[in-house]
Order: sequence, then structure tokens, then C-alpha cells
Amino acid sequence: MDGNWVRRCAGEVGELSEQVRGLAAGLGAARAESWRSLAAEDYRATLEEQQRALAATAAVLDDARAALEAHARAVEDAAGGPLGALAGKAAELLGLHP
Amino acid sequence: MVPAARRGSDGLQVQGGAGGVAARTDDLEQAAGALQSAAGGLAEAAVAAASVAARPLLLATGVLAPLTLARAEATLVAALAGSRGIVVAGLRLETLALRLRAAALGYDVAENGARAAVGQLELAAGRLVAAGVLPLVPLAAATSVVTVPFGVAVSRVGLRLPFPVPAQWPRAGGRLLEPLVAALPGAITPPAGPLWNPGASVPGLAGVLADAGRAGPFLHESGSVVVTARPAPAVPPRGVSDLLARVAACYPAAGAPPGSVRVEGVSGPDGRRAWVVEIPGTQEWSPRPGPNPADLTADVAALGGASTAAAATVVRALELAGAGPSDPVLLAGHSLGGMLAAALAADPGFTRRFRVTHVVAAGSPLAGYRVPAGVAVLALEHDDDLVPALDGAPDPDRANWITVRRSPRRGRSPAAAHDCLAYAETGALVDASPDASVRAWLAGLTPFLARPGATARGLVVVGRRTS
Repeated sequence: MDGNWVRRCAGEVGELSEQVRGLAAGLGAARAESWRSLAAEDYRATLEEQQRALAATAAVLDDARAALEAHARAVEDAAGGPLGALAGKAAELLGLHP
Repeated sequence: MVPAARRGSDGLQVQGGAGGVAARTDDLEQAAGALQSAAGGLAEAAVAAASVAARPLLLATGVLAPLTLARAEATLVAALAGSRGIVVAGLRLETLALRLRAAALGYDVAENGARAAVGQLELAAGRLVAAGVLPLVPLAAATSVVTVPFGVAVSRVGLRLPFPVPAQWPRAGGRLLEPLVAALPGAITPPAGPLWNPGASVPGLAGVLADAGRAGPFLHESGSVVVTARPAPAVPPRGVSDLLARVAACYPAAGAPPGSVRVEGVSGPDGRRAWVVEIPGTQEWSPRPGPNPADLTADVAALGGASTAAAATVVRALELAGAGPSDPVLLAGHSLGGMLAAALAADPGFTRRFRVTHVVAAGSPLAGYRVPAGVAVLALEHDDDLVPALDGAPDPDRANWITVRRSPRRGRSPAAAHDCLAYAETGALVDASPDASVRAWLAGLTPFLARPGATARGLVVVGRRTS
């Protein structure tokens, strides 16, 4: 039970954030540019809105990554003390491994 | 490739006509595939985020730092299932893909169907017909790309998250169901609803009401009229706006006798004559028929395709004016007047006697009238005017039928939206429109309009319904 393992979790969440940004950029392929009509304008406006929404989702994932990194630092700080040894022993007994 | 509608910089939306645009349904399918692929990617991201949030070892670190863990878990839950989270984003993409596929499927029916599928649902106007929505049902059943993996993830890791899926699903699913819900009143209204009678429609229901009126005191349309006529000074109209302003002048509120229509004979410099008939809308709202033929009884009868005293007034007006069988006739009407214009243009008995070449209708439900392809139709509709949608169907999309729609000014009342002079304002935009379809359509109006050497004479004809 250490801060590095929590930091790796934060990294995974950071990768998810990049993945979502990639998906948002990929939505440009769904613009159906050959479609020209009122419906098409509505559709493309909605699509752009979805791209913005995905960017917001990625930002929320960034927040989660930052929160996990902060937690990793807090775990590192606490792990050096007596509570850390106790928690490590408890995790070992419970079979919790990274 | 199918025709569609387009929006001009003047705020007008034009459907049909010579300058139509197109959609390639294979492109729509490809775009829908891209959307669903992105939704699938989000599903994978949702599973991954859920697995991080629920890792037992991560939860165990709460013993060491409970406050920071609580914050980290809260942000993870928000990223997963909050209003800006992965699950909601995936559902939105799924819904958009679903609508796009529905648009592709519906494109062979009408542009309005496609617009309803991907744009705002015009439920109050009743434009959506249940048949156009049925393709959504099997598609809706297939929208499990996000929800199933997420559900599996939740059950696998034993999460009990306050995620908003229960709140979001009814909303996302509700959008799919809204058209069906909107169709329910028609579906459950015996004996004319489509579930009871698959061939039924709003005009069909109006026909039932009109038929029922024959047996009682209400909505009884005799179809008979006596008229009086007087000459009136006239100059040829200058365009669509002027035509509609003249229709507005036929209302009692503008000083015309109740039940009036106005005929103008326009003679060109070559001596050829063309006729313009200006027909106002409903003036009496009692269900009990009275002498004024422009009443609620005429509305119901006209919507149901029955003969009306108001239409008979138009026939007598053209007879009295001296219109010949080869003279071109333009019928311009507002509301009920537009319905009468379309009904007369679709009536073989009328068109054998008078050569209707043009119909201009403002704020009228026209979809139910089988206007021959040779008649050029210009339909004006305001988006906040419910009357044009009373027939529950979109106007046909064909080369010489143009439907021009205009979005409302904010805060306008339904009555103001339906006002004939408001349509005259829209007519001014039509007159000035650069749209290719509109320009081509307006070019055909030349015989009816002011031009060098053209003169006009007018006749005001007042109809009185007889029993």
C-alpha cells in the first residue's frame, strides 16, 4: 500500500482522459458534410455540442487524476508513520495486492 | 439522393422548389457508425474508470488518507456518471447515432421526418406521424453499447454508485418515446385513431366530425351560399406581401363585410387576363353555423375535404368577375382561406371551369389536399403558429410546391403568430429572398403582378350561407 501504486491509478485515469479527447476529435468524421439541409444543420450543431461535452468529460477526468495524485501524496505522507505499518500489515492479511 | 430544405440568411427556411438540396444516406449511415464507434470507446472508458474507482486496494488506502480518498472517489464518480461524465456522454452519442440512422431511414419519406428525427421535436404542432417514428423502435432496442458494458462493470465490481443513469435513461429514452406519446391522443380516439383504423388521419377525423354535423345543429355545413357583389378600385398586386396584405383587408376587422372575398382581374399589356382571388380565414368561432360562411363549420368541413359555403363563394366570385376557363387563376388565402384555395385547386369540378395555376397560402394546413402537380403552391408557415400543423403531416416536397417557414420572434403569442399581417411581413422576405427555388417560383407569378402596362379591376363578393 504505497503512494506509487495510487499514482499509477492516477496515470490510468489520465490515459482515459486522453482517450476521451481522442474520441471527441474523432467525431469530426461523423459530420456527414455531403448532407445539406435544415436537418443537417441541426445535426452538425448537435455534434459540435457533443464534442464540447466530451471535452468537458475529459476535463472532469483530469480532475479525477489530480485528485488521485493528491491522494497518492497523502498516502505517502501517512505511510511513513505508525499507521502506515499497521495498514500495510492489514492489507497483507486481507490479501490486497497491487 | 433526396430533396431537402435549407435555411437562408434572411431567416427563411425553404423546402421544395427548383433549387432543392440533397442528402446521401450512405454518408449518414457512415456518420452514424462513427458515432456508435465513439460511444463504444466511451463504454470501454466507463468500464475502466469504474474498475479504478472500485479497486479494493484503493479503497483500503482510505485508512491512511480518508479525506483525499473521498475526494478522489467523488471526482471519479463524477467523471464516470455525473452530468458531464462518460456514461452520459456515451448515451448522448448513442442517441444521436440512433437519430441519425432514423433520419437516413426516414429520408425517403420527407425532409420534415428527418428534421424531426435529429432536431427539435415539434410535438405541439403534431408534425410527427407515428409511421415515421416506428423505425426508431428496433433501433432503440439496439442501443446497448454503453449501457450493457457499464451495467456489467457495475455488477462485476459490486459498485453502488449514485450515478444518474436512472434519471438519464428516461430522458434519453423519453426523446425516443415522445413522438409515440404525442401520437397517443390520435391513437386512442375511437373510432378514428390509427390503432383502430390504420387509415385514419387528422383530415379523416375532421371528415367524421363534418359528417356527424349533418345530423345535428353543430358544424352543419350546407355548402350553399348566396352572394352580393360590388366593384372595387384595384391596382395589380406587387408581390406576395402585397397579396397577403390584400387578403388581410378582406377581414371584417379591416372594414370588409363579413364573408367577403375579393377578385382582381389583372390585364397585361398584351390584353391577356389573369385572376387573383383573395380569401380570408375564419371569422366566426361558434360551432353553430351562421350566415357568415367563413366560420368554424367551414374549418372542419374544409379540413375534412367536404364542400363549403365559403368555397362556393369563391366559385360565384369568379363567375361574377367573368373569369374564363383558360385564364390563369391565383388563389391566395390565409388560414381557412388557404385551405379553401388548396381544396379548390384539388377539386376537378372547379379546375374544369377555372384554370388554377397558383396557390399562395399563409398559415394553412395543406398537406391533406391533393393539389395537382401542375399547380404551383407557395405555403408560408410560422414555426410558432400551430394552425398550419393541424393536419398532422408535412407538406409535400416537390418542384413547384414551396413551403417557406420562418422562426418566431421571442415572446410572440400564438394569435400574433397566426395573424395575416404577420404573414404579409414574411411575404416581404419571400419577395426579397435570393433562394433559387423562391426566385423560380416568383417568376411564375408575373401574369398576376404589377408591371408596365398592366391594369386591374376589382370585385368584392360577400357570401351568405343558406341552409
